[in-house]
Amino acid sequence: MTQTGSYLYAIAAPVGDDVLGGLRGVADEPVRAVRHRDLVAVVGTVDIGPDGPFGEEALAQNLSDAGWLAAVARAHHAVIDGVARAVPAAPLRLATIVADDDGVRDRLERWQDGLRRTLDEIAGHAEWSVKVHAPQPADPDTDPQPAAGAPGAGAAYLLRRKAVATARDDALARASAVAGQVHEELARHATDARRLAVQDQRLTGADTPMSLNGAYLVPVAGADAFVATVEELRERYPDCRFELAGPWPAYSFVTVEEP
Amino acid sequence: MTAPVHALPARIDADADSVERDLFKLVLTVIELIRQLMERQALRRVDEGDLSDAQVEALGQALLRLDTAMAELRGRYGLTVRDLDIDLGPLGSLLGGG
Repeated sequence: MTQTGSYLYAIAAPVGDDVLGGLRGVADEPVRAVRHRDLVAVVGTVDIGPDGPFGEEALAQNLSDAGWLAAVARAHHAVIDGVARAVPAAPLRLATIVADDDGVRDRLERWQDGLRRTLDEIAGHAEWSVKVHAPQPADPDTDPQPAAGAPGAGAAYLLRRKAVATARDDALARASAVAGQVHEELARHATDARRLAVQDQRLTGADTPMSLNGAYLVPVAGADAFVATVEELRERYPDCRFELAGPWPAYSFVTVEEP
Repeated sequence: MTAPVHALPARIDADADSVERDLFKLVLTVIELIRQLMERQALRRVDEGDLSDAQVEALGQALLRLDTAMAELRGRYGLTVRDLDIDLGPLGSLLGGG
């Protein structure tokens, strides 16, 4: 016997079937709307039986499989993005699954008041992400150094190490100052702004640490001005590396947490 | 609602070569950490200016030898300083890119 559950993608303002009709979910299933009062939950039906990919044990294992996770995250995002382009939508965390549509309605009832207000706030907005990476430390001289044992090599070594440490500290101090200025400037062009935890260097694969991981809730009408501001800042701080991404659904401002 | 995600792989590879390499790597990580601490302490002492020129030179020579020896040991297994680093989660990384 197959056991199914309702996979939640987003809570949104009422959305037409023409929008949902073109979307496919994480299990390539069609997505549908579950209505309750004036909110809509966008859900898909997935197999949560012991043999299905979303059964409790299988899911725990699948979530630690990077390939599987990436594919599901892309599908999850595609649905939310599709909905958010049409109506204000609050995304749910990946793999939020409830037993059936009655469970979905229960949650809509519980979230009703808070969500209604938040959706009004994000209506006509999109999220943009701006990341700033620290500059490369200035390269202290790279001339060949005397080997150990040569007279004066010890003192020279200490001087060199000191220069390296100073250059690194300077680069980090500058990066943190630039991050503060960039965030302040961009926040002026956004309805809401948040500084998220910076990502680890091994995750980003960048040569230097990230000093700003900002999320900005920008009115759709102000998007061009926002992007232009980022370009301006990029020119003002040419030694730092900027990454601009968006527009996204407002993940950092309204993502619903399973209580 | 979901069970905790298992962080360990279902099987652990206990191949002798990789165990030896990983153990070697861990030992190098500890030595590198101590080397960095010593170096930082040495730079601080030099900054304070209470060492004679001869003492500064001797300290530098010792650290330079240690650095050269570390580079050679790392080279044996093709490791970089960054490979030796350990991620301490919210605390950052053990060696901090030094």
